[in-house]
Amino acid sequence: MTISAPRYTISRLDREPRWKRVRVIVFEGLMRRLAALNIVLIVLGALIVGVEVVLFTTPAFVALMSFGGPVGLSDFAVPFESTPYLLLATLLTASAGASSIAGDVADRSITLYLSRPITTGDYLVGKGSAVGLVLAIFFLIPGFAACLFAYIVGNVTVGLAVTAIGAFVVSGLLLVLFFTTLALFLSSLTRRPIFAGAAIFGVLVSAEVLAQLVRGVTSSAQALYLSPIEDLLAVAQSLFGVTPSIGAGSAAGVVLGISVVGSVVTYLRVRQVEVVG
Amino acid sequence: MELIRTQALTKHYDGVVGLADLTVTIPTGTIALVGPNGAGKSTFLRLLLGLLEPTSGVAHILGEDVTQRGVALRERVGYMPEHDCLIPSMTGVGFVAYMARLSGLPKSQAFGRAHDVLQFVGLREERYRKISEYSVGMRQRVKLAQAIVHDPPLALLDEPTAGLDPTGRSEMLGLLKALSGTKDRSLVLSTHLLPDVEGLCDYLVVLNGGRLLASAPTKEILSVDSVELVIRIKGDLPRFVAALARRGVVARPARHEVRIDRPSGGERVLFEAAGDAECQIRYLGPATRSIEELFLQMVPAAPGGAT
Repeated sequence: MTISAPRYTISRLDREPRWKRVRVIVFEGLMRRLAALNIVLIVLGALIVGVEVVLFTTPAFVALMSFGGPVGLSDFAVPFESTPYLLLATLLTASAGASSIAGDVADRSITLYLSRPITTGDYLVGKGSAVGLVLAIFFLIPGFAACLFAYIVGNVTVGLAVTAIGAFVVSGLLLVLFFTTLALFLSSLTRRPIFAGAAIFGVLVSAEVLAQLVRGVTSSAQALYLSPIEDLLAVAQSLFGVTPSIGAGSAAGVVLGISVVGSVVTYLRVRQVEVVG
Repeated sequence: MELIRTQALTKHYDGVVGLADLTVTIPTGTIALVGPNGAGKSTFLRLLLGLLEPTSGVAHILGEDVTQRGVALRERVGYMPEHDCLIPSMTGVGFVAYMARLSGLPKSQAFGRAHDVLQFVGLREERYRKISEYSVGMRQRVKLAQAIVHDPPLALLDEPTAGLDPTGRSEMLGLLKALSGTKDRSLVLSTHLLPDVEGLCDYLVVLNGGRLLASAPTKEILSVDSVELVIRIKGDLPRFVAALARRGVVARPARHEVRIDRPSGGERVLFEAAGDAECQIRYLGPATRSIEELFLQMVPAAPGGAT
């Protein structure tokens, strides 16, 4: 790289399209999260990958141990029925997403973002994509790898492996979409990332506890709609051919509805952010 | 040429007046936006940048409507906020290049420009250090660098000397002076430190309580009238005043200069008086006010409004 002398006339500089500016936000956000020595993130990531490897490869072990016995699509649903898996997903979301907007409000760099030639929507898409990619790295890649592993070492057919990968992708994307939206929304409400992280974890766990309590009192499975985690579980179970406790279509509707409303409210909220000195 | 034009531009914050019915046309050049704290200067800049939506009224900068063409306009406008707004975990050069890329510059050009402007603002090896390790003065320089990295024809600078020590302030003013000398570049400089703008800005906009008090070229606004003259001499000032009095010219001494009403018979009598008093006239010109004097005249004691 050469360093040229400062110019004292207005120069004609090339301009890239807006989507490339959004891509810059995504890349910077991703690198910052992955490069940061955030011990919580690293430990959680290791835990999640470890748990996933054990859980996702279950069908492969089933296949090996049963000497060619049948392995069904439902065998791949194990991680989504695992409480530790979903708990870790919640913690990872809290860790990776808490500072997305709250951090920018805290160091007041949001003013500079919005003073550049991008819209508020571009900013949110960039920030959300960075968080979503971090979550996707942990939620999509191991599932994909586990299916491939099961195909290589087990007696899983190509068709079953592809179907399982498809189910992982759809349920994983829904999970990433919902968790990212929730993280951005709660992060936009405060200028303290730690509060945002606590809120993300608190909201998800509280909703789950509430849903289980109401279900216990009313003996109605309908109460599970109150918990986004149960909704995501129902969708995943349905995709993997397991009968869910609640309607998968309705559950998907609840999760998507919350995501859409959350996105709109986050947009309006960031439009109102007034950073003062 | 017209730089900024607003028509009845108004901004209210929950009933508090930030800017009230501001109608002003500002030409290109180096513009000072002055007023006490709470005058509405920052609100005005944020409205121009599209960071705030006006309650009513319209604003045009560089000939385009701010609310209609905000994104495209921001490619041609740089902004240096008053408050600290840097990302502490990034290096100086990384941050400025990042801001350049957000302004649409390709990666190689962004880094080249980041190095250029950081060199210009006086950050050399320090540019590779993290911003969290920077002093206040260095942070101000980085803020200025990110505002001009995409080489905008207009830079809006909100209190650029805030928090700087006298040396840092002087250096920052030097940088602004160099920037203002760039062909086709305009600066709008918001400040409540009046000495900052004297000698730097050629147009003055005075706000108070969200209202416009004055908008005119600096020379015009600071000239008292055409009758009063200022004389600065090298020599014995009382003796010069006495020599003027002997010739029927009433002089009003003030520190190192005297002020007189323009003599009806021409200025020759002044040089005769200087000869009598064995003085040299070093300066003779129309009297002007300092911005501070002007400001004290215009602004009532109790300002109000928003920041």
